Order: sequence, then C-alpha cells, then structure tokens
Amino acid sequence: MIKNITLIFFALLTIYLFYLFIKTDNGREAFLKLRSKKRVVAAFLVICIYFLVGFLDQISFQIDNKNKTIIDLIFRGVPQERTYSAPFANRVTGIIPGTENEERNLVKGTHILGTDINGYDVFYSVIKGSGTALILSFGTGLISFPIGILLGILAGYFGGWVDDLIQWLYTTISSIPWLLFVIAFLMVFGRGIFWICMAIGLTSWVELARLVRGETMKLKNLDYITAARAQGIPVARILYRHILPNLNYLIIITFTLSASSVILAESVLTFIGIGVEPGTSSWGVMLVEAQKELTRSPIIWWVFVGSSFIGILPLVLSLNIFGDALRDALDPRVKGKDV
Amino acid sequence: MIQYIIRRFLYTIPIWLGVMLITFLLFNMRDPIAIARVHMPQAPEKALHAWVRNNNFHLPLIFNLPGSETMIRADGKAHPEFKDKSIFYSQFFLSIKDMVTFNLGLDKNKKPIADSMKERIWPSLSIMLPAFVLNVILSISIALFSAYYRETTFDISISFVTVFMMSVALPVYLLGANFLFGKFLKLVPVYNHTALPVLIAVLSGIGGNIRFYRTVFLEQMEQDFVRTARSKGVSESRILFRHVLGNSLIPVLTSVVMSLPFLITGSLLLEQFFGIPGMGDMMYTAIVSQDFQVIKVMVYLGSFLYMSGSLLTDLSYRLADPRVSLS
Repeated sequence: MIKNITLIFFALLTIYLFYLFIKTDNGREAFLKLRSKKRVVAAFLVICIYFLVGFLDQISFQIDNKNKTIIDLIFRGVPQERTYSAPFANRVTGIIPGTENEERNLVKGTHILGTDINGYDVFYSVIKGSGTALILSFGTGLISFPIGILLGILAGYFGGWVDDLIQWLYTTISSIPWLLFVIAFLMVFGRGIFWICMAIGLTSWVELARLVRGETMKLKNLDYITAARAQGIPVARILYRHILPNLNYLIIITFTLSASSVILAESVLTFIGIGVEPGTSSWGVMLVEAQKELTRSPIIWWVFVGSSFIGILPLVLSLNIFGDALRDALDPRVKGKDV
Repeated sequence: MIQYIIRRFLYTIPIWLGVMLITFLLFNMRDPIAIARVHMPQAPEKALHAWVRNNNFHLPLIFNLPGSETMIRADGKAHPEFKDKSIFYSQFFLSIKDMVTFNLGLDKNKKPIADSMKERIWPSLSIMLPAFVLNVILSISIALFSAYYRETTFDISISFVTVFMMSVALPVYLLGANFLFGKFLKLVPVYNHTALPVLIAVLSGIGGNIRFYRTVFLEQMEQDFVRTARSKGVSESRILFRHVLGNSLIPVLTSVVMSLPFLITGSLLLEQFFGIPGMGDMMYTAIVSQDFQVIKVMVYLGSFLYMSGSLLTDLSYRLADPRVSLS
C-alpha cells in the first residue's frame, strides 16, 4: 500500500513538473511549435501510453495472497495454453502427427501475439516489459539528474578550482568507455534492475553536467543575476530560484534521450548475461528467449517480433523523435550528436 | 608547438590517474577473501589467505600509512604494518606500476593476459576494420548528400531512417539479420563468416554517424564562404567536396579517431554471437567465468586508448589550425 501511494505521488510529481515546464516561456514556445507537428504529437502519445501501461503495472494489490498489478487484473481472463501457439491460431504449434483432431490441441483463448513455450501470452509479457522500461528510465534519471544538475551548476557558477575539480571528475568518467564501465560495475555489484540504474546513472550524469555548466556560465553574467547578487541574496537561493528554473529544458531533453539509451542498454546487457535477472519480465529477457525460439523448426517468430517491434522499437523511436524535436524547438545550438 | 605538446601531455596525467583510481576502487574495494573465493570457489580458508597474500591483496589500499593494514590473517591477527616500506607500498600504486609497465597479469587459467590479447586482436580487427571503413565512407557520403539536398524528401527520409536505425537494439539486429540471411534467404553460412558480422556492425553504427556528419556539414553550408564561392561561379561539386568537406575535417577527424579504440576492443555482443575469437569474445568469456583481472585490464585498456585518441586529435587540431589553444 505504501508502495502504491509513493508511486502515485511520484507520478503526480512528474506530471506537475511537466506542467510547470509547459508554463515557462521556453516551455510554452516549444509546446506551440511541437503541437503542429503530427509526427511529434504521435511520438508523445506513444511515450505516454507506454509509460502509463508501465505505471499501471507497478500498482499492485494483495489478491489471494499474491501481488497482482492492475495489468495482471486486466489480463486475468487470458488463459494459459499447453505450449506454443501462433498469433490468432486456434491450435498449438508442433502437433504430434496423428493427433491433429484431438481436443487438447485446441487453444482456450485468442492470443494476438501467440504464446511462448510455457503457454503464456506473449502480448501480456510485452506489456509487462514496459513496466521494467519505466523503472529503468526513471531510476536512472533519479540517480543521474541530481548529481548532474548539482555538479553542473556548481562548476558553472563558481568557476575556479570547483570548476576544475568537477571538470576533472567528468572528463575522467567520460574517458572510461561507457559499456565497459557498466559491465565492470555490474560484475562487481551483481545484476538486477537496481544495479543497472546505479551503473548507468553514475556514468550518464556527465552529459547533463556538461550542458548545465555551459548554460549556468551564460546565465550568471546576465543582469538579473548580478542584481540579485548585489542585493545580497544568498548564493543557494540564487541558484535555486534564478538559475535552476532556466535549466528545465535541458533536463527534459536529457531525460527523453537517456531513457531511450537505457532501454537499449538493458537489452544489450541482458543479452550478454549481466542485465536483469532471468525471471524478470523485460524485453531483454524476451530477446534472450527469442534467440532460442528462432532456431526452432517450425520457427517461433512471435516472441522476437513481440519483444523487439511491439516492445522496444516504438518506445525508443518515439523517445528519440520527441527528444530530437524538443531539442530543435528549444535550443538550436545544442543540435548534434554530443548531447 | 613543443610547449603545447608538453602541456597537453601534462593535462592528461590527472585524468589518467583518475581513471586508474576509479577502476582500482571498483575492483579492489571488496573483501579480499571474497575476491579469492571467486577465483577458487572450492578452496579451503587457508588457501584463500595464501592467494590473497600472493596477489598482494593484503597490502594497504592506497597509502601505506601507520595503522592502515587492511587484511586479517588466517589466524585472526592483523598483518604487521609495513613499516620498512615506503608510503607508496600499497595495492593502488602497485597496480599503477603494473599498468605502466604493461604487466597485465594472469587470467583465471594462469595464462598471461597480454599473450591472449595479442592473439585476439587480429580476429577483432578483421571484423571491425572493414566495418569501420565502410561505415565512415558510407555515412560521410550519405550525410553530404543529405545536407546538400536539405529539407527535401530525400533528406527527410534519410533523417527518419537514421532515427529508426538508432532505435533498434543491437540484439535485434543480430537476431534479425541472422534469421533473414541465414535461415530465410540461406545466403551466408551463418557462423565463422565475416560478411554478416561486418554488415551488422555497419548497420548498427551508421545511423548515429550520418546524423552527426549531417549536422556538421549543414553548419558549414550555411557559412558565408560557401555563398561567396557559389556567387563566384565555383561548381557545385567543388563547393561540396572542397569547401564543405574540407572545412568539416576537424569534427570528422575527431569522431573517426574517437572510434578507433573500439576497433581494438571489438564488439562484445557481435563476437559472442558469431563465435569470433576476438577481444570482445575474451571479455565475454571473462564475464561468464567471473574473471575480474581480465575485465579490469579491458576497462583500463579501453580508457587508455580513448585518452590516447583524444590526445592525438588535439595535437592534430593544433597542426591543422594554429589558432587552437588550451583553454
């Protein structure tokens, strides 16, 4: 119950922050610009749907001594089959010759993406995967954003040795190849969603810190900041009230682009065998399964298609399109790969 | 120039030390006995302690200061302090010494890591080098045309295709291409073949490159000298290849040099999937068998190559453009 309340609070907070962003000057400008582009609106809707589904999969209730999420409850009526069945098929796959007409080969329900080796609905697994994707995106953000924003603001505002130290720190971290560091980190601390968030969060703040530092350096020379300083307003208050609100667009751009890379990284790490634990419902785990299924004869293609083209691709593509459009609308100067 | 080179070298040293410190803390902060147990799962307690001693894990972590011994001996007593040794007699400085002298140590099977790396560089290069060359040539030419015909259907569709290609996960490329070419079209004998891995490496990397180069070229195309050249009557192809491409060389060079380390470290997933006995496969084997020494060396090597790459690019900038200075 406490977990549910925390989650709902967190979701409301996210929506509220987004609302605050739309209300700022550059937020409203971006909103008006993006509203006319159909592609971007579609991408935004896809992101909302995936994250909403992922969120519903986190809200759980105790039913018959089992934790059931809302998604579990919605899919309650989908029966478990005996084994594989193709999408919309009425019989299971791989029927022993001579038993074609037997009743036990019939499937009990319709499965739009078929069923896997244990007879579980593949579409249901894909839906469950968006829950993991949501946790990964927000979990990484929760770790990397505070670090990136804090260090970036400090480096940009104070300059001098603080700047040198923070620059040294992020140059050092960005000198270690990203994937190698994440792999080493996961090997030392163990696998699982939490450690993936930690590993990626502790390395990916670098980009944000760099952007925030540059922006803060520009802002601190503006007249209103000088005026605030001349009035004797404490530094912490200047940073919080006058600088931080102007950085909101960097945060939102970084979030969409880092979410897409986290979801891709999860699938790669799980494929190597150090990502999430095998029992977790994630798209990476499904891809590992799909590797086996693709070598079977007759070929079981729907696990692969479901996890990659219904799961990963639409969400990551939408995040990329939306993030790019947002970046172009908000800040044409930071166009390019290095963000 | 000499002064610039020396200063740039000195600037690299703190970063190099930082990399050493991070990798060291990551791998050596754990309980030494636990590290030993990973190496010898079935060994008795006494053998674990012996292993810890032989591998210098009983030394102080960073500085050999009085009272900083880290290890409890097998008999439960603390190790005597290393009073007669210098302050740098510690795990950290010994590992720095090893890395500087390229004494990379042994893997789990007691084989020198440096030897297996020498064997494994070539299979990695045989995949990554053709993929890299193809990738650079293709992405530069596509990006050049895309930037030249900007805002046309061609450019917009290229932009969409590149975003699409960047949104596909590497395992999906592997499984998809393997299925398509190996099982469906029966074109390539799937394993131990270079064509398919090279193709996948190009496909998975080209999207980001095209986008990056396109932005670089677009920036140059909006410059005044391009307009001047055009009004002078310089031919379009000359503008494109001489003025735009020529002036974009610095960013292009950076991205090329920065991807050089990955030629040597190879692609983990690709090599594991196709059974190519390269560096990526070595890393994969190390992950599966929990061989921390190999991973540590790999992380160090990757960072070392990256830092050397950025040093080289900065020096070549300076050669190409004398206005560049250290800020």
